[in-house]
Amino acid sequence: MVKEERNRYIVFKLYSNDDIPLESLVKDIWRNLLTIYGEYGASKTNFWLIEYDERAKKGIVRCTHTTVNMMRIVLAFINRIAETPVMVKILGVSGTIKTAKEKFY
Amino acid sequence: MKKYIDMYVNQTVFQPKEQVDRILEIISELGFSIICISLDVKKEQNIFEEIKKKAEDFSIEVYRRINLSPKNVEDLKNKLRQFRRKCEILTVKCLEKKICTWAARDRRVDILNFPFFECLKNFTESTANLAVEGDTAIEIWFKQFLNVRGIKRARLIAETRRVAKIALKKGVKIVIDSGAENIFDMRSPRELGALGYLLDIPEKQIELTISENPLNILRTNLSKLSPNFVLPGVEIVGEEGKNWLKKKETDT
Repeated sequence: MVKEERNRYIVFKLYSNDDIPLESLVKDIWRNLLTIYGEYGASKTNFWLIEYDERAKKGIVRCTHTTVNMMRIVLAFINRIAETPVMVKILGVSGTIKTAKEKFY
Repeated sequence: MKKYIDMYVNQTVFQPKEQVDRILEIISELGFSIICISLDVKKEQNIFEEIKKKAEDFSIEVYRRINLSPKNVEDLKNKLRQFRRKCEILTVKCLEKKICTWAARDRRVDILNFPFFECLKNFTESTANLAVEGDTAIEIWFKQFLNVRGIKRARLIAETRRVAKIALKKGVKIVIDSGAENIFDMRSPRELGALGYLLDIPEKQIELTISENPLNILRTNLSKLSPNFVLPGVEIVGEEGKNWLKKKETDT
């Protein structure tokens, strides 16, 4: 039987002049998620930051398969983290962490 | 492979000059194969040529874009006459309803730009009908959404959604681009397209807004700017035609 809610793993890369600490990144993604979609929308995404490499500025976020486009918007709307201008580029979306890492990370 | 275009990149993105190579590398990484740089034709010609030359190394095509901000309809007519043949893409900032209406039906105008939230109100169903006749597209630029927060952003999204709905209903082309002022304002084509989901644009149309629509505008204008162009649908082709053109040029 097909699961109603399937996870998707979004691999992203940050472009910025300075280093972006993990805490600031998580805080900013949540802030954007809540401002754009509200608490109800955010609850539907099942968002979680799975991994973040501060040196390579790459990370993986989890969401449900129905909310991938929502997360795309949330990540695209991030333009400043802790006063540092940033740009987020989504490298790819995958159904498992393993493939996400192999293909895009 | 599909070509993605960012139709609106400000010249300020390529500052400081020393970082042009790095910036072009990032643009290439983002997945764009064509960009249009908004320039002041008189002042920035040299910078444009320099960027264009360097962009060839990254397989990026670069074209000129001019944003007209006319004070009134007369000013718009004068500026159109002055600048149409000096750039590949010409846009008009619809600061007033009259300007918006006039620009929509003028075939020389490629894109209608709405620089402020209030300007979006100038786009109505009747303007959309004129835009279809004049083959003019409307532009939704990403940077506009990054500039505002909270209530302002909510109102901007709602108003842009209304404009997009009218455009889709009437068949006006929509172009989504970044409007970037620095490299961090740029987004990859898929992220630009994701804005379409927020504006309730159907998935098929979203793909067109970042690739087909801007590409068609550019192709049409490039053929119009070519010396072989006579009229829409009439071109000078073959050796005889070229010889005739050369002879005509030497005569004049």
